[in-house]
Amino acid sequence: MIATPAYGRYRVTSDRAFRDHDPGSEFVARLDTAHERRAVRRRAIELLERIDFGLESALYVMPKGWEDSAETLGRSDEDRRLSSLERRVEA
Amino acid sequence: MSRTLWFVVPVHGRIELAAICLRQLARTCDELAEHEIEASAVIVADRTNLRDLRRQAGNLIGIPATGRPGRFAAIERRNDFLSMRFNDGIQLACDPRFNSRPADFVVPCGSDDWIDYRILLELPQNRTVFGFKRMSFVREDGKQITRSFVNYRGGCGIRIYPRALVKALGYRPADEDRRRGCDTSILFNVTRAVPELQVEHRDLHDRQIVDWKTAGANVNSYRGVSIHTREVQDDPFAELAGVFPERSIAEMRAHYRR
Repeated sequence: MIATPAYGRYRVTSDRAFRDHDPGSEFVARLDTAHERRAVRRRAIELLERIDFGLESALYVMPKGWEDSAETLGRSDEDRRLSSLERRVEA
Repeated sequence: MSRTLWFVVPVHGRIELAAICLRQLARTCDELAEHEIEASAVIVADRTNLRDLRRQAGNLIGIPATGRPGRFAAIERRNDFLSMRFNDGIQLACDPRFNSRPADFVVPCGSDDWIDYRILLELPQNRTVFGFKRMSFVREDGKQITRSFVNYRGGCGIRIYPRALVKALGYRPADEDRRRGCDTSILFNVTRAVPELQVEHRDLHDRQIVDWKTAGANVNSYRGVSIHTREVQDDPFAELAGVFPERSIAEMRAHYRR
């Protein structure tokens, strides 16, 4: 597997849109490292901060009964973390 | 049951149509359960849309703000970027940090789609994604249906991803800041992250996926998808009889008559 870039919070600093983001607007993205470097160098965008981004920033609720049945099925923690399919892909 | 599968369904507007499609999705999940596939879905929408959906679709829809569960999972997220909402749903479906029973497979789809459960009975292995090229679009007035062939590498936007493939991207495979082309973004990024990724097509018939159009509401209108059209018929509801449940067809017919 190839490592994925880190998340950043960016501001569009040029007077032209960047990836459909208007001048002056802020956005969250996971830009390819070289792409980010070029965009910052030509002052199209400014990197405001590196962030961890994900579901932590949203409210959610699971399906009724979904997690209760984990015990019923007897799946071990290890099984939950790494299915046999994942093991094959990672091999 | 040996395998689990979640659909990821962002919703914004068209609440009555979305509610009909989610009720049909519940029936698809019921059919899959008969075939040893435990299926569920996660709905991703802002607070207003979730509340309105709950009014239309009742207990199917959970309400995150109150912690009230529904048959399907729900995520409250602002409507800014469609791709962010797909990522949220995929992460809740597959990331063991959030889901103690992460789904083995995830299927991003639209809130205006019907999927024949039969195309989901075979599931991909190893570094493989299943896509579908044959589908039908229903015109905005509900009076015409196509037989279409979406001849792209990934087929139409509905694909089956094994969990391991989205894990490679932190369970958030789409570019976060896209408002359209999200399905393409997911496939593109997974392809970059997973060497030797295979995309295979599993087509059964032209009505296996149905996309219901609404006037003024779609990124791609009925006319806009005409490049994929091979044939058209004049009575969508008659054409879909025998493929989808009568109850779903009756609900949708009533919706288009209003």
